[in-house]
Amino acid sequence: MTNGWSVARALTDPGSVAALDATGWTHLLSAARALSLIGTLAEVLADAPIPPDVARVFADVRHSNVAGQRQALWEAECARMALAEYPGRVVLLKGTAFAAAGYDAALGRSIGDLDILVDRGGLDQVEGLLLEAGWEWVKPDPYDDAYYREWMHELPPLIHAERDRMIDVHHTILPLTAGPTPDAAALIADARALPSGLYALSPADIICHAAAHLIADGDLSGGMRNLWDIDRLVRQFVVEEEGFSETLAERAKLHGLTDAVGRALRLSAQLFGTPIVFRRKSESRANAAQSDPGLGLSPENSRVSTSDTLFLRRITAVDGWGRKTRKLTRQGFYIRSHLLRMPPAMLARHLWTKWRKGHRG
Amino acid sequence: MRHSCFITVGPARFRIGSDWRAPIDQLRQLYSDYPLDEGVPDFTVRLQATSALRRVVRPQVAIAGDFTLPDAVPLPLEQGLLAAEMAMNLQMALGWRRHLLLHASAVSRNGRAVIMTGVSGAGKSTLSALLGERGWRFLGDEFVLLDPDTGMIVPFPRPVSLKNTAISAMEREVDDDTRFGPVMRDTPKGTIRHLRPRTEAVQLMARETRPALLLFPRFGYPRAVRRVDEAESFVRLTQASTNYVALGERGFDALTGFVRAMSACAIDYADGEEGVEMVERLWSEQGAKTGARAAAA
Amino acid sequence: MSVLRFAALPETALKRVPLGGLEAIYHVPSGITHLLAEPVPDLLDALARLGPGKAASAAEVLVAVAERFDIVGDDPGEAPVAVVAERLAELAQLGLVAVRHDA
Repeated sequence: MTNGWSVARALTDPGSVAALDATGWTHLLSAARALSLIGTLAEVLADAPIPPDVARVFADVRHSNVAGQRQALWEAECARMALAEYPGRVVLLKGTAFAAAGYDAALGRSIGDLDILVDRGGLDQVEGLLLEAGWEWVKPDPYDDAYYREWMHELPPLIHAERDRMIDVHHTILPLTAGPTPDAAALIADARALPSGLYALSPADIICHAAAHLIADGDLSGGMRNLWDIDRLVRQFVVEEEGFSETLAERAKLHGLTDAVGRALRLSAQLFGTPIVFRRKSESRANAAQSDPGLGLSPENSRVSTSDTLFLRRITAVDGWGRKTRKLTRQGFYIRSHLLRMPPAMLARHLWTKWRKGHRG
Repeated sequence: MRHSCFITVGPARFRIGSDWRAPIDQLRQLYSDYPLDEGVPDFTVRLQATSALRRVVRPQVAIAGDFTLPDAVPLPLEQGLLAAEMAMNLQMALGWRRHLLLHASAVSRNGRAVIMTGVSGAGKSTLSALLGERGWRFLGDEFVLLDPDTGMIVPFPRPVSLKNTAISAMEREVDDDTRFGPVMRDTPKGTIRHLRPRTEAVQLMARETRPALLLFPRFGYPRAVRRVDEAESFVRLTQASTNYVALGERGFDALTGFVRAMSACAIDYADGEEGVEMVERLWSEQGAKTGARAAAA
Repeated sequence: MSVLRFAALPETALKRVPLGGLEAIYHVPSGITHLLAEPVPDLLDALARLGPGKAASAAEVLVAVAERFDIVGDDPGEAPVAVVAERLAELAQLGLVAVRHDA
C-alpha cells in the first residue's frame, strides 16, 4: 500500500525504486505531490535509472524547481531593496533562507510566500517601507486585521501588486497565543549574515523554528516536508557546526521548545533515519562528543511515545491517488490546532465572529 | 478510487479517478478514438464526492488532482464530464513544462498551421472546429503547444468544448451523431456539448507541424482585418500563456522567436462562414508571400 | 550630498530582443520580462559601453545618449538630466541596472 512511508523510503534509499512497476511509480508520484515532496524526489532520483515516462515527469518538476527558487530569491532581493533604509536586521525564514544560505535542504524544495522576521519594535517602519515599495494588504477585513495584529506572530499578509507575490512579516516564530514563547530578540541577535546583506537564523534556531512550526501548525499538512527539512539540516549541521548537539539543546531550552525539538527529531529519525544518538545519563559530554556520529539527544527525549505514533499516522496519511487518508486523525488535529493557538475564551469569540460573518455573507 | 481510466492526448497522458461510474463511462465514449492504455501518467485527476453523504444524495463533484485551485466550485454529477475536462485543462495549465502553452486553437493544412487566440467567447474554438470539418487538420481548441527547441507546434486535439449557439452550428455541420457527447445544461458557462475531432486528427496527433500564421479572431463584429506588430503579438501571447513565466528563459526565447517568425492579424467576422473564408484567404496570401520570398532567395 | 551613479548589470543578466520598435528584455535573476520603448534601451547600451563595473551619473549618461536623442520631459521646464535620472531610477527599481550611492 502506498503512503508517506513509500515516499520516505524512495527519498532515503533511492535504489529501492528499481523494484517499482508502472502502478508503483504512479502511486509514488501522486503521494509525493500531495506531500509537497515531488520536487525533492525529482532531485534525489536525478541520477537513478528510472523509466522514460517518469523521467519526463521529473524533468517538468525540476524545471519548476529552478523557476520557483529563482522567483523566491528574487522576491527576497526585492524585499532587501525595499527595506534598505530599515536599520535593523531582516531575517529570512524557511525555504527562502535555505536557498539563500545554500543549505542541502533547499534541493528541490518548493518555496511559497516570502517569510521574514524583524524586531517587533520595527514592524511599523517595515510595514511602511513595504507599502511604499508596492506591497498592499491582502485582506482589508477589519476583524481579521485586528486578529492578526493582536494575536498572531505576523503582520496580516501583504501582496505585491505587480509581482503577485505574498510576504509574511513575522516578529516571532509562534503565535502569541501558543504555549511556548520563543525569545525573538535572541533569534535576531544570533542570526547569520548572508552575502546579500539579509540574514538567516542560526543553525540551531532554524531547527527550533522548524520544530515549532511542525508542532504548532495543527493541521500538519506540510508535516512530512517539514521533517525532511529537519533531516537534511541536521545531517548538514552535525558535520559543519562544532558542538551542534549542545548548542541545539541550549537554544531549544531558551525558546521553551525542548519538547517540540525532541518530538520533531524523534519523528524525523523514525521516518528518515536522521542520525541521532540518545545519550545515557552517565555519559559525559566530552565522551559523547567524541563517539557521536550524529546529533545527541538527552535521555528524556529518546522515548517514542503513543502521541508520536499519532503524529506519524497523520503525517504519512496519503494514498496512491494523492488523497489525504485517515480522516478521523486529521479532524482531531484540526481541532487541536485551534486549541493550540488560542485560549478557550478567545476561541469562542473567534468562532462566533466567523460564524456571524458566514451568516451575514 | 472506485472507477478510473487513462487517456492520452498528444504528448500528455492523464489518469482520471472517480467516485462514480458515469463520468468515466462518458469519458471512455468521448475518447473512444484515443489511446487509453495504462502507464505512468503525466497527471492525475480526481473527481471526488464533497462528502461521503454527497456521493449519493444530490451528488457534487469536487475537482481535485495533482494541481488544484483552492476556490474551485463543485459541479453536480450530471456535469461530471465537464468537471473531468476542466480538471484535465487545469493540470496542463499549471503543470506542463515541456512546451510553451498558449491558450489558443489551431488547425493545419499542407504542413503550415494557423494559430488563433483570443479571450473566451471570441470564437477561436468554434472557428477551429469548423475548419476541422472542412479539410483542415484540427490541432486543438484549447491549448497550442509550442516546442521551445524546434519552434514546431505539437498537436493537442482534445474534444472541442462547444458552448451555447455553437452547439447547433456544429450539429448542422457534423452528420455523425456518435461524435457528440451528452448535452450539459446550466453549467457555469451555459449549455455545453463536446465534439470529438475527426478520426484523422486523432490518428495524426503525434505529428508536429510548422506555425505559419497567427490570428486574433473576434466573432460577431463587422468584417475587418488589421496587421498586428511583433510587440503587440508578444504582449497578447504572454497573457494567453499559462506557463510563459514558469518556463523562464526558454519561454522568452520560444515566444520572441515565434512572434518574429509569424505574420499576425486581428480579424473581426460576423459569422462562422465569413470567419472560415477570411482564415483561408489570409492563409493563402501568407503562403504566397513565403513562396515569393523563398523564390527571391 | 550623495550622487547616484548607475552601472550596467553583468552581460549574462539580461537577454534583449528587438520587437518592432520596442525591445523585449528578459531579466535572468528575476525571470521577469520587460517591454521597453526608446530611449530606455539606449540608456542600457550607454551603461554597457562603460565597461564592466564602471558607473556613471545621470549627467554622464545624458551626454552619451544626447547625440541620438533630444531628451525632453513631459513638463517643458524639466531639465533633460532630470528626465534621464528619473528613467535610470526606474530601471534600478526594476533591478535592470545597478545603483551606487557615491559621496
